[in-house]
Amino acid sequence: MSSPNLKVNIGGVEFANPVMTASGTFGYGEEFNEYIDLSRLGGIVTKSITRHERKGHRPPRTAETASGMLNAIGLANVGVDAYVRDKLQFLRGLGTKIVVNVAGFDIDEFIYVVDKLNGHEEIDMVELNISCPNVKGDGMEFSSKPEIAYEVVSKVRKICDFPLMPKLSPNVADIKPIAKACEEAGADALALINTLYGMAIDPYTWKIKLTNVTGGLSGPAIKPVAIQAVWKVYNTVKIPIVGIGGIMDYRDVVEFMLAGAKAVQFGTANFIQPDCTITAIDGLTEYLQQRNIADVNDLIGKAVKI
Amino acid sequence: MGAGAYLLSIKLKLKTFPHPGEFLHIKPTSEGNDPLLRRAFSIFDYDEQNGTVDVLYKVFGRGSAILSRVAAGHVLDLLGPLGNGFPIPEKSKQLLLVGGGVGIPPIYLLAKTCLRNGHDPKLIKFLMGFGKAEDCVMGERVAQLPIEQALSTDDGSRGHKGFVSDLLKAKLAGGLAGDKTVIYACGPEGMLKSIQGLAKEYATPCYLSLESIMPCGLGTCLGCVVKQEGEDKYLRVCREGPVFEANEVEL
Repeated sequence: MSSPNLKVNIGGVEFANPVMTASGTFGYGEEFNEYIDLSRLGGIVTKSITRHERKGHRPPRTAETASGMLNAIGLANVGVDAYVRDKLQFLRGLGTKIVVNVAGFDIDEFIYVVDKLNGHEEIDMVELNISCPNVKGDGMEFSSKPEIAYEVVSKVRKICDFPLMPKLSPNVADIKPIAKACEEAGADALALINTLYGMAIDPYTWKIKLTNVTGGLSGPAIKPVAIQAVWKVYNTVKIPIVGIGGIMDYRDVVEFMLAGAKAVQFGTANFIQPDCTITAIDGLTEYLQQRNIADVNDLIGKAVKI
Repeated sequence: MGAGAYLLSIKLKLKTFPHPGEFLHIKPTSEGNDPLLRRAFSIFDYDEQNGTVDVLYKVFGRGSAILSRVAAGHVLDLLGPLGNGFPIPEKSKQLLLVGGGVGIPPIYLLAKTCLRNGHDPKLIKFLMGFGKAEDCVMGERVAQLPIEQALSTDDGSRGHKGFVSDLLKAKLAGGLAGDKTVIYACGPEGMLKSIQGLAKEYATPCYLSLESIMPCGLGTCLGCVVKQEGEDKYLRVCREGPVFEANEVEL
């Protein structure tokens, strides 16, 4: 059989395949350039950028847990001005789609950062990290309440030149109304899930393993949480979903797509196997060929109940 | 090797002789996702003829325990060599090499590299620190090098009773301080902190190889960072390090 179609369209952007890298696990792409052919990726989602440079939290910033890891990096990043000045240069012409993850501690910051990105044609899409705490509000995440999610997404949507993809937190009682609020606010796609809140303590020293006390749990440990979130959101909204959470190989890609994701992001797996994305693209192609599936889009939401 | 220490010989042909201080990022098991992350191990030795890389480590947690049970002939999943490694000193320099326990491997490879490069053996002194006499197995290969050596144990069961930094201090106070000497050290953080202090006190150039929890080893996760001295900035141990000038980092 001829090569199956791997192209997926998300918010008007055509990705060569459904495999992207998750924000914060791939830097700005530079480190991975020596290990893999970046042009083969569906897309690169770059590390969260904020208004100003952030140095991040005092170490230790990570701790390994059962089939997962905790991180509290603290949104360390170069800041939007340096990003536009120094990082876009490298990302330009890589031959893959560039999704810029934007973080902010208040709505003004999101607007400021997105405004600085406007007009830069190297950028294909903005992923809005609304899973960081809202310092001007009650300290809750923007994506913890539908009204707040609606407000930030609609305000950014008005001024953003690019398709906009809010990234949702799993740390909520019900993700469906938040997804719905984002859709109503004009989101072009949704990325989910961000990390789960977590904490670990050394039983011998009694010390908390992260300086920040709590961190975000990622890795295969959270995959079932992500799958159910994607499934629920898929059955709630019409806009495309990009699935994230513990994806390690092509089988996980298939699982997320069956749950309703149109594309996926590899996160923690990049730390372990720098070529995990490329291996997964090859594995996915072979998987489709073996099953005579002509188009990867035919997998989306096809999970069957037993 | 006893005392919880293990020597792992990996059949691995490297393009060039490894740079001392470089590390390998080894997955304890290729089966499943637990443990999930790789572990960083300094390169201990390299046999060019047979193409074997040696790693010397002690079992501390689950990852190293699983690795210690890997059967001979098993195929390991590893990345490397990674990291910057030690700057190779000019041949005229007096070298004070300090290794504490599992910190000995990269210092041993540095000593070996300098000797291969024709550094005068009389200018190299190797100081080793251990917890107790049994741990001294980790210094066996160092003992074969034709250079001056001294060792300490915390409990005094062998060598000087106390810390290896005491031995270093004696050397520095005994006339080896200053910029004709270079100190190289690897070991537990407390030891490195003492050595950092001594290097400053005796105005002697010093390089430290740091250990850190290192999820990716590639410079991308930003997990393994160390604070830069005098700057509001963090350096990545895996990428800018693991070797730093002693006055460059805040321990």
